[in-house]
Amino acid sequence: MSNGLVVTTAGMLWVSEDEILALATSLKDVQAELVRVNQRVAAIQVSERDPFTEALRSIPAVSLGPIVGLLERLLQDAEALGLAVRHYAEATADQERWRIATWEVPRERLLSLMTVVLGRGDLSSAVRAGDISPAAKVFLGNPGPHAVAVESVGPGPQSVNRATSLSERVGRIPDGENPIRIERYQTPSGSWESDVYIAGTQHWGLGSSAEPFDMESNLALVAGVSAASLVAVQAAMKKAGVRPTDRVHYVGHSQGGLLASRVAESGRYLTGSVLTVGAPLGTAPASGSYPALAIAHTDDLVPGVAGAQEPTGRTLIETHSGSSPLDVAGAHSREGYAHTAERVDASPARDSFPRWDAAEGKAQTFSARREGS
Amino acid sequence: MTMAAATEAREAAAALRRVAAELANHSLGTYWRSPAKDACEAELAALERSAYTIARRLEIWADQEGAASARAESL
Repeated sequence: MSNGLVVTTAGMLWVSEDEILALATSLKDVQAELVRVNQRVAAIQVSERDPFTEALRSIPAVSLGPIVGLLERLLQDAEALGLAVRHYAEATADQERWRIATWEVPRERLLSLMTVVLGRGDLSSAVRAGDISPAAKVFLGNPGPHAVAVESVGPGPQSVNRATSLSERVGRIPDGENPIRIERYQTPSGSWESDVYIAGTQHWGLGSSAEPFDMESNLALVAGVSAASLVAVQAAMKKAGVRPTDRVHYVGHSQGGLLASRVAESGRYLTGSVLTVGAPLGTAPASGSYPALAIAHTDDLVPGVAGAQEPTGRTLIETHSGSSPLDVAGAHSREGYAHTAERVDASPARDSFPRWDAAEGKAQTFSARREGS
Repeated sequence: MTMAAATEAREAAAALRRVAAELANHSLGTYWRSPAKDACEAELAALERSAYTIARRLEIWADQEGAASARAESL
């Protein structure tokens, strides 16, 4: 079966390693549950030897033996599929990394991203020497497939009132160690909506790190391929109970905005809206029918690092951050964008984006680490 | 003992139905485009069908065990 799952997709940027790893994780859970069911059913067989009960039967007892055999086969099939999917994910990760290392992806976009961190050791020397392939490898390291451990933080879902303004939404984007926040709301019609808040880059060093929201993920996302942070967001959504039929509203800052756009475009969930601030969206157009709004400071370097915007249905609001000329961090900060969102809330431009109804729901935050780190 | 066995079997069947529902609900999205995706979806559908089938057989077994148990307890 694994042979049937290994496939190359030359020339396509979307191999979707994250989709495959999400499936591998799901199959792992399925296997664990099947092992438990097997053990329970195997223990039941003792009752068949109860002679008193057997004597009272009006019809011959049905043996559990064949059912146990079917269960064992089901477990073997699930294990075989899980193994095949993990092998496929590894092959996909190698393939995507190879494409970046050999610059199959648009190199001017990657170069513009690299300029943000130029001056750091062997990367800058590699670029100066004109050999940019090693420079890409410096970024990417060799972390293997993007296996990520995502954990819910705190005692469990907390009650929360839905953020209804743009500034409230930007203010809820997490920062620090727990980069994903998911809120779930039930609508009066009984359906579920989810608000997914995604933080920006947490680790700005070269190569890969234990932190999935790092420069390797930045580079991969700008290049249009899969990333560990993308895997983390989708794993957190799954843990939070977000279902494919849920309408999902995304909010993201910086890399989180790029992630929001990528998940919104994935088709895995019904996208309700996408709000991004300070995100490098040049290679991530909004092609769906959902409303998408991007806020970018004209003095923020990050929104421009992905190059010119490809044709998109997204509404873009640009303004100066109000930071001093040399305050690069201030121009990109989430707090700065929250202030700008307040200005947008108070302006006619607010009407370019839909409003959310007030509601009470549950919120969870999630941590994410690369597995094996 | 048989009533407990019937209960165990029903709970195992319920767990299997949850597994089947989990498999049915897993979306592979729209961006993974390859023959591998079709093969994978077929395998997932086969797993889901097997889980439902086994759950149903466990429930039938539990019903029979429960009936025998109820008769034993009434005597």
